[in-house]
Amino acid sequence: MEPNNFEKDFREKLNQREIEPSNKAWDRLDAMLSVAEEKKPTVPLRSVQASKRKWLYIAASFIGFLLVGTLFFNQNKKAVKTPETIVVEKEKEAETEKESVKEPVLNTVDSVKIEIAIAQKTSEETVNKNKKNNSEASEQISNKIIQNETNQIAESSIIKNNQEKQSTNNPPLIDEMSKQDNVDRLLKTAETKILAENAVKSKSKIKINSNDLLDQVDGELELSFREKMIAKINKSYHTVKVAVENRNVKN
Amino acid sequence: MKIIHLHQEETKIIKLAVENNRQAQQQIYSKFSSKMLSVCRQYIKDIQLAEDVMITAFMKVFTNLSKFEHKGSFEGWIRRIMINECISYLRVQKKVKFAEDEFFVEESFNEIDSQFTVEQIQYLIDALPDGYKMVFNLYAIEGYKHNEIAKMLGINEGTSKSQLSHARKMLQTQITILKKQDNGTE
Repeated sequence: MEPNNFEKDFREKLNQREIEPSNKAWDRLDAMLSVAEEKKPTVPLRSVQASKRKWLYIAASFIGFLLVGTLFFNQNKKAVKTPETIVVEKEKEAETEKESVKEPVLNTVDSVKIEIAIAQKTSEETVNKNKKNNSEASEQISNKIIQNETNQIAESSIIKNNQEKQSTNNPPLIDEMSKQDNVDRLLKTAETKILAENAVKSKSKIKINSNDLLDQVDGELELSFREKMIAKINKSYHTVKVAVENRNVKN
Repeated sequence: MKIIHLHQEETKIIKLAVENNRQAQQQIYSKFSSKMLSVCRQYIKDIQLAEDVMITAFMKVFTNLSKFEHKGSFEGWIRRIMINECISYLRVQKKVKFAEDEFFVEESFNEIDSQFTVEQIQYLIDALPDGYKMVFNLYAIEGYKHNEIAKMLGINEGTSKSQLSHARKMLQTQITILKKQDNGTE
């Protein structure tokens, strides 16, 4: 592919050739150059402006990044803190609940019904509904079983057991219990009659409920409070006994 | 001493031209314009269009004069700008496309011993398609290598070779016709 002879000839002749451009050509170039010169002074200004803008953009982006970064880190801190505050609030709520539980119970000393009601309320507040439902269901089931058996003695024995439990919880009351043996016998007989008349359901329910609820409350309350409560319940139990006896006597 | 003196004078003029000295610019223009128009005429048949391309190329010469590093010859630097301007004109304005065939035959034309005038040579080159013309001018007249031509035109080296081969074939046939005509007239 070496250049051929005729190509060498071509090259020599073409390189020697000179074509004179028209006179207008320089005028046109002159005009173009002067136009370019007019533009030139603006060019450095533009470049300066552009460089300034560049720095502005860089600064703006830097500030933007800082803002975003600070916001991000603050969010993280908040996210860490929020559960703590919630815990505190929850604790406060729990404390308030406890206080609310304590206050009404302490105020009501006398009547049994109110106490039971409070116990129920406290149980409602403290114990989960599911648990309550479960306990109620189990109670109902047990009641049904009892009804099917219809053994009056069994029910009376349950009552006895309850009494025994209460008595074991506080030994000084045993004396009182022994004193009231006669009354107890009468109560039993009366109760068996009532049970026969299908008036047992509500009573048995109330008793079982009260015990269960009391147990639940006992677990949650302090020892001193528990003792107080037990004493109160015993008192109230006696009053209930008396009331039932009176009613039975009337009947 | 004369050469050194000339070189120093040239650098002086270039410096002045960089500072937008119109007289210096005109000196450079008047020194090279006729040669450069000849270069442009190799690529562009229309003399007016060739002149237009030359003017725009001279504008590029003056705007980029500060980038001239005084290493090679100043004429060569201007010439390269001219050629590039011609190529871009042909490629952009005339949308010249190169057939991407890599077929080329190495043939020797050494037996052809032309004794043509410049006008005849230009006539032969003008007859070539723009693609062939560019590659032939760059290879045979400017002395670029195929890989350089491929870079300048954005084509494969093989395409450059095949274009040159086609151009040579065409020129060969044209030369034989011309010779016959010359013989006939003589």
